[in-house]
Amino acid sequence: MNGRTFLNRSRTAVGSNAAYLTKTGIEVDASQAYEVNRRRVFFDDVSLVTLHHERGWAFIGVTGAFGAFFLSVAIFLVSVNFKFWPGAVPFFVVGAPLFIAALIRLAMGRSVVTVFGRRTRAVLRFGVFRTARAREVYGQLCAAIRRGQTVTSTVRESPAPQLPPDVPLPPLEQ
Amino acid sequence: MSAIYTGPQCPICDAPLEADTLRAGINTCPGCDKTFEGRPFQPRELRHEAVQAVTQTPDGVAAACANHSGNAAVTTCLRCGLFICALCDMNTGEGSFCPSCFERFRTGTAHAGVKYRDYAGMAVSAAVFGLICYFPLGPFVIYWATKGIRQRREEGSGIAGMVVTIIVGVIETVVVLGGLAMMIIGAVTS
Repeated sequence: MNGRTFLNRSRTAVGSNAAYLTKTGIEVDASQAYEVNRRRVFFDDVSLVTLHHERGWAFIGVTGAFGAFFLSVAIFLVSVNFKFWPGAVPFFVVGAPLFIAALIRLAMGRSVVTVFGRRTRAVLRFGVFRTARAREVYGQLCAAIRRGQTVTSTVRESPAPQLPPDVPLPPLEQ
Repeated sequence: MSAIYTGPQCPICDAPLEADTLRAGINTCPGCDKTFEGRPFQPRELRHEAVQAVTQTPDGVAAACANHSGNAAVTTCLRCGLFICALCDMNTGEGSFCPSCFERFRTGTAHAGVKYRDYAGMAVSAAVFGLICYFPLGPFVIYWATKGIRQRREEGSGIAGMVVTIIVGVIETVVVLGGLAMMIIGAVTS
């Protein structure tokens, strides 16, 4: 048993990222077409944890454009002749949620927690309405990293054993 | 990843940040002038001494590190097999690599992460597809869900979803086999 604690899952255009807290670090499972790529950031490697808000202009642009397109088709159909309203309903049903999602993201943004290690980093993106959860995870990570780095700093190292002088060396190549 | 990761960066513009300019609380990026909340840590320096000689030759003499002849090797590089001491050990969590192989992983297309197949996701997708399209995927659902259960147990995750998926797979198999049996019986009797 690995004993992982689920932290967050975020969707991307091509897959999803799930973040877990383990005893020794953070694991991020990036899933794409049933292939999962797991990356780790160890607590004793972490040098910085950040929390910030971002809008995500790609999401706003693509979602807003699709929403606006479908809404404009619906409005166009109704404006040509109000009798066409049943035909406009599907366009409205598809377009309105997309457009509203883009507007909400534009207005509120989303929280991002980033953990920087020596060699790797983990990025945890939270949903628009999960700001409190992002702050909670940020605090949870800071506490776990502080604890992890305190534990590793108390482990004593043993000195390097000296090699005996008569170690046979490999023969030189001719 | 578009740029090579070299250490702490601005989370907004990816500009490299100096460790001594960071403080706990609100920080301002010198590159983009945007603010972010941060908490810097002081990771322990990498060990500069070999901890113990675990790689032994048959006559009991420790093998020397390929890069530091004074240090005993603690392990071998997973990629090239070189003897390496604790100083050279670039442990990525998935194994130990020598500095040059680690550099290849870091700068090249290859990476030192773990890749595996998401059998749980495959089982759920196959089950849903089989239900909607009445397609004989039941045996595949059961096979993938069984592997998914094993994966989830190793991870310590719950398996309730996979059990439900197996039940759906069994129902799909029974329905499809029943349909086939009815067709055969119908053909024989007529």
